[in-house]
Amino acid sequence: MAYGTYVVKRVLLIIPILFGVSVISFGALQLLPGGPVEAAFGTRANAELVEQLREQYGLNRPVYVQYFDWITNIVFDLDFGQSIRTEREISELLTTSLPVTIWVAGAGALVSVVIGIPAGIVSAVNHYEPEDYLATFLAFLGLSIPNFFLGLVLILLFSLYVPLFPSSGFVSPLDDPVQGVRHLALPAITVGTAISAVVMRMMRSSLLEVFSEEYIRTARAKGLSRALVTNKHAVKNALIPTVTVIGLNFGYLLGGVVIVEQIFAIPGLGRLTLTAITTREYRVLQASLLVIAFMFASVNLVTDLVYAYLDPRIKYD
Amino acid sequence: MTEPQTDTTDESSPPPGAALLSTGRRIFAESRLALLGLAITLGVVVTAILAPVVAPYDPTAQNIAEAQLLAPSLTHPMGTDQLGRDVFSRVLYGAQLSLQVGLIAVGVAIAAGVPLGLIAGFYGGYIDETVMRSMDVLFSFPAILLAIAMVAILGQSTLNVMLAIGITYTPIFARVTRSGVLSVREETFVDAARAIGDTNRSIIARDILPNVVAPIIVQATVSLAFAILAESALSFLGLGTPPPDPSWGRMLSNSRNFLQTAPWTAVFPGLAIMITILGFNFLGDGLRDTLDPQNETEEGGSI
Amino acid sequence: MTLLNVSGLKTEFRTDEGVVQAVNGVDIQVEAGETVGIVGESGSGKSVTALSMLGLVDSPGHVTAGSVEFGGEELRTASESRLQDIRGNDIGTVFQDPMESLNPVLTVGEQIAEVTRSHGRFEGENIDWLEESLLGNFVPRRSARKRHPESWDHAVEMMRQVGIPEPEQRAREYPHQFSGGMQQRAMIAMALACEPDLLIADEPTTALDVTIEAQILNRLSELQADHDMGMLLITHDLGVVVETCDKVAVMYAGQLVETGTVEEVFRDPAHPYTRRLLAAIPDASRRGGRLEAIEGNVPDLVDMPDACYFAPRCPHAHDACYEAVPTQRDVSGTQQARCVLHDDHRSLPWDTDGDTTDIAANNGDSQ
Repeated sequence: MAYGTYVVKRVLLIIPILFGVSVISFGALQLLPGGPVEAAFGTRANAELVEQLREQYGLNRPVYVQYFDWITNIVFDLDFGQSIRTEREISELLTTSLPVTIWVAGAGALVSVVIGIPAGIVSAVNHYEPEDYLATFLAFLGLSIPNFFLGLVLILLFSLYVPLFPSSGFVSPLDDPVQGVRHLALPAITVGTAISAVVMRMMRSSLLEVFSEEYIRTARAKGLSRALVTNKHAVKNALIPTVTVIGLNFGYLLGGVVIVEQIFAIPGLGRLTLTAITTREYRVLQASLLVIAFMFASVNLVTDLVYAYLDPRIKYD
Repeated sequence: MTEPQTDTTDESSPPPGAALLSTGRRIFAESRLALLGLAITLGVVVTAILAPVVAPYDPTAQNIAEAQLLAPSLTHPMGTDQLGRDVFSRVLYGAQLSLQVGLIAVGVAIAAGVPLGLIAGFYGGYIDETVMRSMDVLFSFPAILLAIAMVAILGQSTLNVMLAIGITYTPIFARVTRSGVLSVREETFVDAARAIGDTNRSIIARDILPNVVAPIIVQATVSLAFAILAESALSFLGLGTPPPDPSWGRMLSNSRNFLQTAPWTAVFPGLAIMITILGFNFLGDGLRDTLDPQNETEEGGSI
Repeated sequence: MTLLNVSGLKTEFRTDEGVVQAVNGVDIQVEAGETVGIVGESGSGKSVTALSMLGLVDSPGHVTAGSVEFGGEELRTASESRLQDIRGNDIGTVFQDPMESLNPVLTVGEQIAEVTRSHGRFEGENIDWLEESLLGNFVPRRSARKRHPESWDHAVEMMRQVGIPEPEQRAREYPHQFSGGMQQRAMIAMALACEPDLLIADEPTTALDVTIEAQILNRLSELQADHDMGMLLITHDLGVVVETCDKVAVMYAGQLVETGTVEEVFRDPAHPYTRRLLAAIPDASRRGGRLEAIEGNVPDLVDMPDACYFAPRCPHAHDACYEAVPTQRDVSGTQQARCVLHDDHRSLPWDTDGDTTDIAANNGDSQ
């Protein structure tokens, strides 16, 4: 089908998924004993105050009414409600934390590409030789090292023993490029390492496949240099599935971001979510879960679209 | 015409045990990686089983007065932590915990995911759509967050951690099973079975399931690695096994305050996690080369 | 000087089952302006022969013996960079399956222009470092047409010459947007872009319809005549050989079993294999009879015996055939056959006075 129709169709598919997510995240939290108000105040609250707050937040209404209310507020007003504990607008919390997480995730993805793609190429070009074994072994290592462990080791080495990078905090690179990058460096490496292993392996295997294709033989028969054949003819084809692998692994990237935000005390969406869980701030939790799911679905969508765009066989009919 | 060379999933005469043994032998002969993985994995299993026998100290015994944050020595090969507990003993017992949680979590995932995948793949149509869309919804959460959310809902306990991780990995098993079913469903022997009147249920059980077993085994091995990782991660975040049970992840979390002064409290549990996961990854990869050449399994990435 | 002079070429593949002798002592000469055909069934080693000449055989294959002289220069000892100079520039190659042989993510124009750019045909339009590097995949650049206009125009002109309609538009498209016939024409354009002295065409029309095939072959002949190009045409289709070739070499199990001019070989095939090949062609004038297949199978190329390779399937085999691998015997004029029957020209087990107005006439082998 034409590219435009494909785009529209894929975008529309997000809606039922988000719907499902919203129902689940709303519904699941309703199952909890007590309610958000009780949880927010624990046992200290007196019954009267609790009852008053419950009225105020409309928590005595039937579940489906509450859901409907919540969902329509989000869809039409982008109003996610208020945090019971701090009385701040949840949408404000989201708008401050979301960009931070995007920075960390983006930096991690960048690291994974910068390490993974060249490593995969070296491996494939030298396959079954020492470089290949070394790179594959390192890839295994990268996949197996838990990112929280890696983060701690990096802090130990490059922040405590050798004070090169800060061990916590976030500065937006838009505000201060140097400090921003310094603060992002260790988190990005922590997040990106495991993904770079996946990228490297994908690049290697798809490049090896491409090398056995006939158009590579044609390229060589044309007298093109080895470098040109590899980097222009082969890599370009192998990049397509590799790029999509990054998109597919976005979930794992995000999981890593959550952990990294904890370790490096970065005020992002992951940290917000975790705090919401431990302080039992259910409204915040609902909202952030929904945003995360939306991010996730969008990345999947963008990945599909990029794939279709990169491959001329799909793009041009 | 030469004999077609396929793998030896022989459904007809020789008993399954014999085929399994020969396949097993073949796997480990061909792949040194799998062999290494098997060695490491067995090492971890043995450690877990023998922990009570080998561990020099009670892993929960505190000794703040005399033994706080001691560097590794002959009496404490891996040092002690901030409460005076012997790190070596805790690492040994941690193997037990990790394996337990991992195995049960994967067990849950298989018990839930495989039937779903079988049904979706076999019946197709509406059922397939419904099942796979629900799986997609689950997929639309990063695994770790899903697990975290579930622990938050269910409450913090080892059992809930197992359940949470298990549910998180259910979609992967559903998918792998489903694609295995799809690739076998159109084979002629299924038509043959239908032609002689086998019921759907028996077709699934007798004809399709054996062919789907191989990728499931590979996926199970790979997922086991990540289930252990997930448990560690949850414990690291304070949501996993409650103290004082020794969990590698929690040990790492506790070490954060003493990172510079007592790095051994972080290094040893971290290495333990890493080696265990490496072992399972090697094993899974080696198994995959032989059992699942079409690569229907998914790289369940980190956490 | 002979344009291409191949002698004693041997190529083997080391596999788990043993060493496969894919090319087993092949001698071929091609003069400028001449078309030589290599004919054989699949598995006879014809494609590997072509690749071996170009130095494009990859592990587990190795060229183990022989010499490949092109314009007097020995290619087997040439450096890789010298070979790269020659490939695409002095020797053009057309491969069998055009859909698979064209890079799906590059435009057709780009792929043709690359050839001239790689060999420095146009001032200042060579391949640059960025294009050869990994980074080149990520850095956006101006369109090919703008960066190297002369090469582009030349590519378009080549496409016009091979008969692709609306070449300016087509050059900007991708291979999958072309039909099979057009793809093959594009491949020919690519092979001829630098006006090579020799064209190696490996089954250039096998994947195409018969009508397209005729057009392509005609076009090839025209272009060949224009450039006084030598052509080595590899095919399993005897009809194509008769139509286009001056000389022919018949290949079986990695060896040449018969060589000669097309007239010689087709009028009076000297090797039993050639005779059976010709007899096997279905002939409309003999309707109702059985198809004349050749009994037996092509031998497994591992551990070949020290005897005539075709003997097991040959209707005229006798003891002398199993003594050693037969050498090429002279038959007449320039015709040679690898068969002991030709030690004694007087008594051949078939008639030699048949005339041929059609190819399959010589099927009078007495059993």
